[in-house]
Amino acid sequence: MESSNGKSEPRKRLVNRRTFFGLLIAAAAAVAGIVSIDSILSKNPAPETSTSTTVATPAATTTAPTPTVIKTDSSTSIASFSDTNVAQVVVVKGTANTDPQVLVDKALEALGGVENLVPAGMNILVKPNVGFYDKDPTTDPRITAAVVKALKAARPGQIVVGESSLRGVDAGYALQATGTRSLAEAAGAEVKDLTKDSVVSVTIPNGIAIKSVEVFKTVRDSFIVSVPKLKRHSDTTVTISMKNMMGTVPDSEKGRFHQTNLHQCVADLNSALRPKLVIVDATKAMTQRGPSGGVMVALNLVIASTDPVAADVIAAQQLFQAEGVADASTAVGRIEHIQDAAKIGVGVADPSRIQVLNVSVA
Amino acid sequence: MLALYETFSVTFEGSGLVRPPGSVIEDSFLGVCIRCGACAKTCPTGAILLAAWNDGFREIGTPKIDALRGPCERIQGRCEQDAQCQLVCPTGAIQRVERESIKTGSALINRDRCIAWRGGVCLVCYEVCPVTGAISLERENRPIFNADVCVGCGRCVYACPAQPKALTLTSNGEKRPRVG
Repeated sequence: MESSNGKSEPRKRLVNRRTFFGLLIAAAAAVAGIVSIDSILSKNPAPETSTSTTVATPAATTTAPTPTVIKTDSSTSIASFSDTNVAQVVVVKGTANTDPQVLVDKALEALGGVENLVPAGMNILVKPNVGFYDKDPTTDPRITAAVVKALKAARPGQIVVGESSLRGVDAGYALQATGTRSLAEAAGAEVKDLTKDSVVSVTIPNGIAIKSVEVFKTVRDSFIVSVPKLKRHSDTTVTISMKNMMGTVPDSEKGRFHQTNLHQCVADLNSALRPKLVIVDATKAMTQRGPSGGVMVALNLVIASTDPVAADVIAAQQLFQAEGVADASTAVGRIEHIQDAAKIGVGVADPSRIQVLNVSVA
Repeated sequence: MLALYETFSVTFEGSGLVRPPGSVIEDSFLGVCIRCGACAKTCPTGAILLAAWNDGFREIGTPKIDALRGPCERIQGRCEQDAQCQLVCPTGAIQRVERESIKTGSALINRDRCIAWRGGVCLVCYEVCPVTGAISLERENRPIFNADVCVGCGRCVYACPAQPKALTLTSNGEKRPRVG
């Protein structure tokens, strides 16, 4: 700044010290104000809570009235199958008009009767495939209800029909939209969106890709009955009783399986949480493509076994035969998760060691 | 100073937000939406988020679809009959559009992050996609995204198990009605 006589003068301050600090405090207050307005404006409704990851420890009670004795399945050893072991699979064939209850009852009768298949007093988890909102890709709710009704004869503790669907598919809505909730409740089951359950960790001693897995508590503490829909699958060739078990783990674990090795992880999962009874809904099967968008074909079958690997082998054969696949048996031999599961002792995949009992009903 | 200026203008201009299904064209939307947040509260999947300052100064408080929070179920699910967001919108910023005409945007894949394209086993996007042909398969095991067919529901983005996610939902190709 030049003065009128041309000589330079000491620089004049624009503001004095008091004004400077006043401005500084005002600026800080303005920033604080903007930040708080921003946090109010950007307040959003809470996102959907994801699955709880805390393990619920039951509180000890001083009085413990127990009118019925509830037993939980505490066996941790995996059934290992020697070379002489033969698995039994029942294939019940009906017509388009056969009552689903008849198909299920016949299957359980042929396997030896539900009282011999399920110890009394057990808490049972009936695990249908309710991974989607639509009826085509999901277990027929009448079959699910028929299984619940049939299991009542074993005088179980509690029967829960539970599911955790594909990530992004709301299991609660899927159970309702498919009709599973109303029919299963009418049959006497408690219907659960498993994602609301607490999560526990289970070890997988024979696991190859994974040595432990997080599952919903109800699953760990129940006698598992896998009730899948017979379908093709884009990743695993088919989805039957063992792939169906992915609905017993939280979304984060489903993701981990894909990140690791899906086929081996499915096998590993089933070695730790082996379904003790399998009833495959093959009344209508999804052919050509899956697990959704395939071609539905009425097979009018229910396939049952106490061996999930053998059940999947026979069910896959039926699916391939329905599609007209040239050598169905060889094609089944190429399904990785089935072969992986047999290798670690989940069940029998060798067709020569699977005894198939065919039953026809009107 | 230049860097500060650059940041500032990005903040003012905003980026193409994915709007709820049936939202009117953007220029009108910014005038009609009263930032009440009713749509965000009612969305059954929690997919609708209210934009914050980093989405653009003019956009603050307006609804956007964040597929990382949940998919939009207008195409398949709880909003097949009616978009819940549209039903509660008090100003008509979100209008009733036939389900067949909905396109909120399209999904975009980063093949470097995709488990399948990296040699792993995954087709979850293909499994959950509700629109035939939006995702097709190469060699039966790798997903190809067809943006023209995709309706932008975000199911694939939400379901993608890759970490970090291999999919994002963009507003590319969105179809939006005019006001009135």
